[in-house]
Amino acid sequence: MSDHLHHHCGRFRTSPLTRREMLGTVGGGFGLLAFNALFGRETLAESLLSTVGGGDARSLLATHIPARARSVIFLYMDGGPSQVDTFDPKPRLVDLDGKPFPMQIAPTQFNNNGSTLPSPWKFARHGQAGHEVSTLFPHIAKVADELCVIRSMTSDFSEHTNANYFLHTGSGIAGRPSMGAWSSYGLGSDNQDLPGFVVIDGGLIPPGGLDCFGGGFLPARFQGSVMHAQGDAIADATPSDSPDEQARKRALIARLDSRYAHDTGAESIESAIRNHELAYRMQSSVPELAALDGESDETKALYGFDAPDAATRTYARECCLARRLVDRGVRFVEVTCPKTIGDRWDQHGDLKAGHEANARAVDQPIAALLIDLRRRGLLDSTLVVWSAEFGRTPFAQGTNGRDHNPFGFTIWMAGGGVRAGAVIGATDEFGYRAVDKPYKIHDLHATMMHLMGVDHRRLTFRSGGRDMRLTDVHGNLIEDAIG
Amino acid sequence: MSLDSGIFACIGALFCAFATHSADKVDFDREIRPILVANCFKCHGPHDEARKAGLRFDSFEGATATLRSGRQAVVPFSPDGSAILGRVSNLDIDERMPPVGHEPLAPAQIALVRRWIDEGGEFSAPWAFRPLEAVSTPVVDDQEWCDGDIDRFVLATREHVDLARPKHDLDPSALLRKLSFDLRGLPPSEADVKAFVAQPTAARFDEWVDRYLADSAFGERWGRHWLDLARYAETLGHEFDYEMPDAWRYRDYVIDALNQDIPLDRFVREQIAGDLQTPRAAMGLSNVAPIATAWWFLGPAVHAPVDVRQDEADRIAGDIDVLGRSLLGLSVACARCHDHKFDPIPAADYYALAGVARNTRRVNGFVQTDSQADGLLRRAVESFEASARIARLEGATKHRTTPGVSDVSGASDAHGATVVDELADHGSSWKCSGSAFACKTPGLHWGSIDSARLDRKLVGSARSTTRSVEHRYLHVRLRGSDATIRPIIDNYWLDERNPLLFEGLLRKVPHHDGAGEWRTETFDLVRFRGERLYIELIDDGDGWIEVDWIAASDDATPPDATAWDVDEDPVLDPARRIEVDAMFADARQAATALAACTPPVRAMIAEEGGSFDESIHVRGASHSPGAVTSRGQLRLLGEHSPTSIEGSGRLELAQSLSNPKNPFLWRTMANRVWLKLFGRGIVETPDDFGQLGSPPWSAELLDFLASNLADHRSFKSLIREIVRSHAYRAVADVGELPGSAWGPLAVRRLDAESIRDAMLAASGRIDLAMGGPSVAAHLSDHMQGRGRPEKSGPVDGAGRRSVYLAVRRNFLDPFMRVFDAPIPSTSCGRRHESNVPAQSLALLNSELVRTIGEYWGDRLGADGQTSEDSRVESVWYAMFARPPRDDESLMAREFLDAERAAQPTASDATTKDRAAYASLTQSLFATKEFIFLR
Repeated sequence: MSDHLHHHCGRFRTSPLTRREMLGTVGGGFGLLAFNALFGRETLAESLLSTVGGGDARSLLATHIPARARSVIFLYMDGGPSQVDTFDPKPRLVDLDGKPFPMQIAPTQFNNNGSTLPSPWKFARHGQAGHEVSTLFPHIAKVADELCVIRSMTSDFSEHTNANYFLHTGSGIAGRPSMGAWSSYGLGSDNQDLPGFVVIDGGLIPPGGLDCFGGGFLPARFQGSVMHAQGDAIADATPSDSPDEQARKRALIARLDSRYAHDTGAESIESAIRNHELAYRMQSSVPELAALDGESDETKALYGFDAPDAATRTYARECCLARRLVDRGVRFVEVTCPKTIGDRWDQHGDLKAGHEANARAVDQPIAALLIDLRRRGLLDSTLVVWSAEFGRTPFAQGTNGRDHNPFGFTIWMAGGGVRAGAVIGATDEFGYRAVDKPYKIHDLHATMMHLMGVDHRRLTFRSGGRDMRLTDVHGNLIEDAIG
Repeated sequence: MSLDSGIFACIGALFCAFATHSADKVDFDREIRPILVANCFKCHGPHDEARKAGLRFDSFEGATATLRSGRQAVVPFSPDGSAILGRVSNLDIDERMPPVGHEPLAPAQIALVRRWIDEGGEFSAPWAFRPLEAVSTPVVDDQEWCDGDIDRFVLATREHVDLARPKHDLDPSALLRKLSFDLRGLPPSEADVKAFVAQPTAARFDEWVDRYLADSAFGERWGRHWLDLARYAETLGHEFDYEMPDAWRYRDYVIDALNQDIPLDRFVREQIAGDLQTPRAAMGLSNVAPIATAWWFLGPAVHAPVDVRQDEADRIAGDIDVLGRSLLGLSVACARCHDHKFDPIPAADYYALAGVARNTRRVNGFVQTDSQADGLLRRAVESFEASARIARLEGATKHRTTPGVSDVSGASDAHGATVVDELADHGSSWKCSGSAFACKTPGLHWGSIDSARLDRKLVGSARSTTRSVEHRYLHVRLRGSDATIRPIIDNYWLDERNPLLFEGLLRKVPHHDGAGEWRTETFDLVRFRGERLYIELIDDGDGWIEVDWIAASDDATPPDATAWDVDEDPVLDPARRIEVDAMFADARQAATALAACTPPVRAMIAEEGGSFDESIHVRGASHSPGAVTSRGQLRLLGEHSPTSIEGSGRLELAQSLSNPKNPFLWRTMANRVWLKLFGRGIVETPDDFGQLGSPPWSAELLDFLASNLADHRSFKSLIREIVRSHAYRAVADVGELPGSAWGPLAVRRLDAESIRDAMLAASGRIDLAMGGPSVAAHLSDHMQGRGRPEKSGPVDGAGRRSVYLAVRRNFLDPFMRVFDAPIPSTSCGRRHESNVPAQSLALLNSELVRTIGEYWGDRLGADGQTSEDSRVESVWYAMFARPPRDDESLMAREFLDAERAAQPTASDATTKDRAAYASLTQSLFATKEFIFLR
C-alpha cells in the first residue's frame, strides 16, 4: 500500500504575506538565500522566479545548514539490481536452494513465484572497511572504502513506473518535480551557461519517461535537460549556421529587440534578451563541455572508453561527462543506464546473464568516476548516489529470474559529506524485507537535500493550494550516513 | 525582473496598499483571516480530528465558546478579556501560540488582532463560499475613461489607492494583434490590420470582435484552454504510454461546443453526464453529448496493478482533483485522507464524489453517424417486439431443460453453483452501447442476451450489472463467433492492452460458422474476492455472441452445458404465424438497412455502473472503510438533500455543479476568462479559491462577471463584454508597477500553441483543416523511452494547428514544453510564463523553426516580381501586424544583401533570394516582438 498517497498534505502558509508577495517586491537578481538571511524568512523562496537564467548564481554559504556537497551525481540503476547478488550477501539462501521460500510472500508483479534462489555470485570483503561486494563489481570493490552502503532501503511500489516516479519525485504519480528540479530550484546553478539539472541519457529512459526528470509544477526551467554523451549533447544547442551568419542574425535580432524593449519598458523583455545572449553562449559552451576526446589517454582508459563492451564504452562517456558537468558547477546530474543484452537490471528471467551484462556496463566507469572525482578534489563536494527504484526477490521468478522487491534493497552513497565505510541497516536473513533501520525514499531525499545544505521541510513551492515539497509530509535524515 | 515577478510584485504592493488604506475598520477577509489561516487553523480549524484543546477558531461561535479553562478565546469588544491575545503575546514559549517551532506573531499582527476584537471580533465566511449576489457598480471620479461597468470596477481599484487612469491606449494595430491572438490564437491578416488601422473606431472594433468570435479558430483557441483544465492527452503515460485512440473525439467535441457556444451549464453537464442528457446532434453525429464524458477518463493509467482496488482509488483521486480544481476552484482532493484542514470540505464530500466515480464505467462506446440509424433501430426493435409479443401470447415460447432454469437469481442450482444471472429477463438489466445488443426482447427463445438477434452485422457492446465477487469461479454459458467476453474488476480495463496479472479474463470467442455450439467459459477470480465485477460482451464486427446463463461457484468444474437443450418445438397457429412472420420480416429488413448505414464511430464514453455508496477511507486507505457516505451529495454546494439517488449519482452531480446558484463554477470560470484575456486573474490562483489561495483583487468585479456568466451562460458573451472594455485596450504606464492596483501588464508572452501557429500562419504553411485524428508526434533523437512510436510524425506537423498535434504523455513535444505547454497530469488553469535560454535555442536552431523559415524563404525568394520593399513589408505585417519603420526596412535590406553575398557565387539569383529570406524570417521568429503581445 502506498502510504505516501494518503498523507500528502504539505506545509502551509506561515506568514500572512506569502513569500511570493514579499519577494516580488524585492525584484530580480537579488539572491534568495541572502534575502532569507537578511529578513529571517523561514523558507527557501521563489525569488528564483524573479531572476533570469544568468542571475541564479549564488553562494552556498547561506543555505539552511552548512552544505557538504555542492553537486549530486545520481547513478540510476534502471530496473532494479538484486540486493542479494550485489551488496547484501545471504548465505541462508544457499541452504534453502531450490526449496520453498520460507517467508510469506506479498503479491508480486508477475505472480509467478518460484523457489528460493541463492546468488550465483561469490562475495568477498574489500578495503579497510571490509565492505562485502559480489564478484559482479570487481572495479567498484577496489574503491569500496568510499562507499556508505544502506541495506535497508524500501519503496512503496512494486511496479516500475510508480516506483520510478516515487524514487525521482517522492510521489508515485506522474507530474511532480524531480529531485534534480527541486535542487536546481532551491540552489540555482553555479554555472551561468548551463542548466542546473542535467540528465545524461545512456539509451534507456526509465519507465515513466521524461516525467521522471520533469519540473512538475515548478517553472519549466528547472526540469532536467537531457544530454547525450555522444553526438549533439543538447537539443538545439548546435547552430547549423556559419559563424558569420550567426553574427549577422544576432545583430539584426539585437537591434530589433532593443527597440522593442525600449518601447515597452518591460523588464521581462530585458530578461528575455539576456536569455537570448545566454543561449548564444551555450552554443559554444555545450560543445566544449561535450568534447570528451580532449581528456587524457590515461583518463579515457580509466573510465573504459576503449572497453571491449559497447555498453561499457557508452557508460564510460556518460560518467566522464558527469564529472565534467559537476566540475562546471551543474547542481544535479542523473546518469541513466545504457542498453545491454538484458532489459535493464530487470531480470525476470536469466538473472545470471542479464545481471552480468548490466554490471559489466557500469562497474568500471563508476569506479573510475569515484577515482577521478577523488584525485581532482571534487569528491568531497560531490555526492554520488547509486540507487534503483527497488530491488529483487530472493526467491525465483520462474526458475532463474527474480521479480520486483520494494520491501528491502541496497543503495549506496559516496563523496560529499557521506560517512564512507559505513554499512547501515539490514534485511532479514533471506534478504527479503528490511528489518533493521528500514528507510524510505523520502529519507534518502531528505538526506541528499541535507548534504546539499537544504532542510527538506523548508524547501517548498505553492501549487494547487498547498506548499508542496519533495518529501511531502515525510522524510527523516539517515543520520548514520552523514559523516 | 521577469513577468512572473512583476505579477508577484503587484500583489505585494496591492496588499500593502490596502493595509495602509483601511483606516476605518479592520478588514477580516484581508487582514485577519490570513493570520488565522497561517497560524491557527492547522490545530483549530474545520478538521475535527486535528483539533487541539477543543478550540475551533474558524467561526464566531467557535472563537467565543467557553473553553475548558472557563475563558473565551475571543470576547467581542474586549481584547483584554480575550484569551487569544494573552496567548499570542506570551513571552513564555511554552504558553505562547502558535506553539514552539513556529514563528510568533509579529507585533503589527498582534495589534491588528487586538483592533479586530475591539471592533467586535466578527467573522465572515470565506469569500469564495459566499453566495453569488448582485453587486452594484462603483462610482468613480473619472467617468470619462469608463466605457462600461467593467471599467468602473477596475478604475475604482486604482482610485482607491490614488492612481489615475492608465495614460495610454494600444495603437490600433497592436490592439488588433492582441484581439486576434486572444480570440483565435492566430495573428491578424495584413488586410485586417490595414482595414482596421484605416478606420479604428469603436464600432469597427466591435465588428472585428464579432468576426473573430464567429471564426472557427475561436473554438480551437478556447478549446485548448479547456483541454488544459481537462488534463487532455491521447496516451495513458506510465510504463508503455498506451494510446487512447478515440481521445481526439473529445478534443473535437470541445472545439465544436465552444464554437457553437452551447450554454455553459449544459456544457458542464455534458462533461459529467452527457450520456444521461437529452441527445444533442452536432458534428454529423446523432448525439455528441456522451462524447463529453471522456472527460472522466483522460487521466493517466497504470497497467498490471498489484492491488486493483487501490489502483482504482488512486485513479479516482486524480479525477476528483481535476473536478475540484477545474469546476470548483477547490482542492477537494485534499479531503481524501481527512476533512480539509482549511476549507469547509469534509472527507464525506470527497467520498460522495468517489462514490459517483466508482459507479461510472469507462466504455468503448459507439455513436451513430447516419441520420437514418436511430429510426431504423427503433423500427427493428419495435417490430421484433411486436412479433414476439404475439408469439408469446400464443404460447409458442421454446423451453429448455437446463439446470438452474427454474432458479431465481441468487439461488443455488443442482450443482451447488449460485446462479447470478440466468437471463430470464433477456438482459434487460444489461447496459448497451451500439445497436447489436439493443433488442432485449425475447423471440421464440428462452432468456439470453444476444448480439445476433436483429442482424449479425450490427456492432455494439453490453454490460451486466455490477456484483461483488463472492466465489472463486465464474461460469458463463455462451455461443458465438468472433466476439469478446470479459469480466471487469473494479473498473480496471487495461488488460485489453497488457494482460499481465489479469491473464485469462479477456477471452475471444473464436470464429465459427453456423449457429455455434453452446459451451461454458470458466473464469478464475481467486485474486479478486470481495472486489466488484461486471461482465462485458463486445461484438465490434461481423461476429456475434449470445450468453444465457451465468453462475458463480467455488467449484472449478462447470455444469455440462451440452446437456442443456430444447425440449420441444414451438407451436403456432398458422394464421398467427403469417402475422408474426410479417413483423419479424419487417424487423429483419430494418436491421439489414441499419447494418448498411454508415457505421457508428467509436468513442470513449461513460456509462452507469452500480449504485453503491462509498465508504470513507480512513486516512485515505482503500482497505480501511469507515462511514458510508451518500454519493453525489456535496455539502459544499449546500445541497445535502436526502433524495435517494438511483444510478451512479452523475446526473445529480452534473445538476448541482451547473446550478445557477453554485457560486464556485461561475466564479472560477469568469476568473479563467479574465485571466486568459489579461494574463493574470482577478484571483491569482485560478484553481484554488480556498483559504490558501489568493483573494480576488476585486471581489465585486469577479461577482459582476460571474453573474453575467450565470445569467447568459455564454463564454462568447462574457468575452465580448470584456474585450470591449477600455481596460482591455489600455497600456501599462512606463515605470508603474503593474499591480499597485488593477493595471495592464506591459507585455504578455504568447503561449506555445500561438507561437507555433503564428509561425505557420506567417509563413503561409498553415493548414486550417479542422478536427480528426491527431498529427503524429514528431520525435527527435532526444525523445526516447518505452512506448516510443515506431514512426515519427512530420516536423512541421503537416502545417496543422498545434491543438491537433498528438499529445503523448511520455513524449511531449519539446518545442511546446519549452514554451510551457502543460504536463497533462492534472488541471492546469494557469500556465507558467517562463523565460529561459532554451526558448532562444529552440527559436534559433530547432528543426521546426528552420523548416518553416525555409518554406517561407522559398515562397518569398520565388516571388521575384515583387519588390524587395514590398516583400519586407509583407514579412513585417505577418510577424508584427504592422509595416516596418524606415530604419527597419533599411536594416532588413542590408541584411538580405549580406545574406545573398554570403551565398556561393555560382548559385542563381532565386536560390540566393530564397536563402536570404529564409535567414531573415528565421531571425525575426527569434525576436521578442514576435513572441510577445502588448
